[in-house]
Amino acid sequence: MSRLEIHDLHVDLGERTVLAGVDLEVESGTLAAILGPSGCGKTTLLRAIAGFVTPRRGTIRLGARVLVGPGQVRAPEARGVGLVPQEGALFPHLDVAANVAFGLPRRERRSARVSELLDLVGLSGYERARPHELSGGQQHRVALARALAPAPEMVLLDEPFAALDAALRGSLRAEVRSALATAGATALLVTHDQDEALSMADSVAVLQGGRIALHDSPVRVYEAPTDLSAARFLGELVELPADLVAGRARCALGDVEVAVASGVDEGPVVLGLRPEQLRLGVPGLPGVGGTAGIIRAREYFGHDCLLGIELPDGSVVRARVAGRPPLADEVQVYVVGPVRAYAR
Amino acid sequence: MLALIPLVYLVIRASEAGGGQIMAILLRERTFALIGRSLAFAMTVTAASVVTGVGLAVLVARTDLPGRRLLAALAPLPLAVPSYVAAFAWISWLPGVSGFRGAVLVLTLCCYPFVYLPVLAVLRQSDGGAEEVARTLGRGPWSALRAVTLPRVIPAASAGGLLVALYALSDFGAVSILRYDVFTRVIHTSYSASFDRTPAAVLGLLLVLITVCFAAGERLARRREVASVAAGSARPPARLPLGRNRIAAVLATYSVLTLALVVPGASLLFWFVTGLSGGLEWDRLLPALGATTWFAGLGAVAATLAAIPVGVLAARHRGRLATGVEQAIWAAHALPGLVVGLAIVFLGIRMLPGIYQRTPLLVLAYVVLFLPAAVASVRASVALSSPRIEEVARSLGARPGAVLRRVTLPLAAPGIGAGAALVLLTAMKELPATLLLRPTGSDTLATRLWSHTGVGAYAAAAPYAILLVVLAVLPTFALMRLTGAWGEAAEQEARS
Repeated sequence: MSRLEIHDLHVDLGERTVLAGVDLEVESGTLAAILGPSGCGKTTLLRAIAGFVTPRRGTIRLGARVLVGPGQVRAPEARGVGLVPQEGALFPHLDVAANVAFGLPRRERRSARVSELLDLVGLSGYERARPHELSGGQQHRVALARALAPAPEMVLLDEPFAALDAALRGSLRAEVRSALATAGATALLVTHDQDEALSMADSVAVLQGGRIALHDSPVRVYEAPTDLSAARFLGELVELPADLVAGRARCALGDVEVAVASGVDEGPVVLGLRPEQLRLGVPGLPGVGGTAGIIRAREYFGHDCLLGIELPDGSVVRARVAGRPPLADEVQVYVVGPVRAYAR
Repeated sequence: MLALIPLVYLVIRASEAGGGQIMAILLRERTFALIGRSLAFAMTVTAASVVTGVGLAVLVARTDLPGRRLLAALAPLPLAVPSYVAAFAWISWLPGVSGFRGAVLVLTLCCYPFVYLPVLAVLRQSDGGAEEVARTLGRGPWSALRAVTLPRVIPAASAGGLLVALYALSDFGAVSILRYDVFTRVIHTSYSASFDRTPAAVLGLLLVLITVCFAAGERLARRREVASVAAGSARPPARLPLGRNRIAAVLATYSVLTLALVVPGASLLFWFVTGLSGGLEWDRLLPALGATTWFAGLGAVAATLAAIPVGVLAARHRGRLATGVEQAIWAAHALPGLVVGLAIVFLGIRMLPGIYQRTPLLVLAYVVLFLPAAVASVRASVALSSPRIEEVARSLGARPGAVLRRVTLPLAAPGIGAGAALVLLTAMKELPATLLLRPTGSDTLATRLWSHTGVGAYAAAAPYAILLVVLAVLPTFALMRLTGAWGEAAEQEARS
């Protein structure tokens, strides 16, 4: 159970530079999620940690050991890093017990360790089953048990739930989370699914342009991201041009207080806020403030509804509300929670 | 590299003779005549096979020919008849079938499946949409077929054609039995009839040069085929009505099948029954079968073991080394069995006199001849499993050697086993290298057939021929299953 430290990691695949100076630290025993669009190099980062691609430059440390450093590269089998690939990749010629026992020393293969691990992932009694007899979710749980069996210092999960249907994904996330917590392993999860990253991880890192653009707790990366493009990737973002004067911004929604400004003190900025930070009220009530608007567009999702509201200056903002308000209704728009400003 | 050692040795053996003698052999008028005759022979067989193969494939896949399911089941079968067995069957019945015309007839009937099978596969994959578009642009059904679909079978047909040419150039047994003097027969005559074996070595190298050129052409053609067939298919195209030509088409197809299957089959049976009256020579037949199985079995095991490192390397690492090794092996694939046998004879006499005319040398020849087939099967079976699985094994602490032993090979084992069985059955039919290298005093089925045919003892030869056909039918069935030449036919019938 060790801390992962990656410093200035550069990886080229053929002619293309995929990772250009990745810095990342994952605390011992926590689960970090790497979030990024397809093709941003998430899987390459994972493969560099596991030892299947060799970086051009940089260091990777796990606990007290150097996995990759100047002049030294450890072989994958000597890293103590477990891997749960996207498709599970169980050994099709072995049964479940033999899959889980694969990484154990010979004398431990028949010990209680295997049933202990199958217990951990909720698959007791499946020892003799063959991989093709299992459902997709069961295969992933066996793959996790197999990775945890040799008690690796770290476990890597490469989009482990991407191929599963939505209902299964939800329950499996919780199970994997608790299995990892019980095992106490440091874990790195790669995903392109914001919900998955925010709901499972202790910390979320956004990988963009071959670097870590942002790495913080789920709450802080969602509510107070320090990087505008990372903020856009983490979820729907309302962006409004504004003028920043002494901690207050003047924009189409009136005068709002700015919680944090990244690298700007005064002058023209872009405000970033989440659609659920906009609340609607009945127009015409005196003394409450807010800005008048008209509902112009509506996408209804059941649990909530995304509205397009036209403001007096003609700009349109998106608001997430409960229920299904009628189109063309006049409403009063209020801002709640912290608003961030970014340099324009 | 092992695969090329005999070839290198052949070069050494030939060059020892000195430039003057080599030039003298090469510049002889007889040599030029031989090159011309061999090329003309190979071209004629190729042309005839392409016409037969493409014609049959179009009739089976795209027309309403009556009895096309039976035709589809029977048409690939000549692959199962070793060409020298077919040659024996023909000449024993119709002694007039010899020389150029006889050899062309027999080899074409044996080789057209090399064209028929790939062309059939392309025709079955092709999309009906393109032809329908051509119809809406004013073409008739046959004109649309010619303009849209036939150009797409050209790569497959030319790849198959080059394979036929390669086969015709390398074939030894059939041309010798039919007494037509092309390269292989002249090399064998000059090897066995004189003390000076330099001409045999020089002519052997010349033949290798020609076959390697053909093989390179075949590789190129195959690459193009892959590129053009990849389009995928949506809907099977409509079958075309033969109309008034129906009867002619039926007559043509069934006469091909009669010549290719019924005539040799009837001839073999006739001689077999004739021979039965004199009693079977069990005391020779059984040892020959045993020796055949033993030598071929050793060859299959050795070739497969040698193929495992190369095949795994080729499937997993597309580096320059792997490509180089693979290409060396493909070059060896172009070597005619007779030349490989000859090269190993020279190698054995000079370098390994202890095992000359003993089993290990014959096994070595089989390894050289069948390594490409074994590598292909190892490579294909290894490539079936995902490399991710091997990565997981390494991340669990297994070293590369342990990954190979515990994951890669167990997963590939069924495919490798099937490949070894195919090599075994192919080696059992091998004639020229076996003829040169068989251990003193032992005979295989192929060499017994050869010596009986040589003295006109047709009735005595028939049991060996029938056994060889039975052995050869097995891998052909396996091939049919793999290429789906049968299954798809039934499936397509069910759909239409």
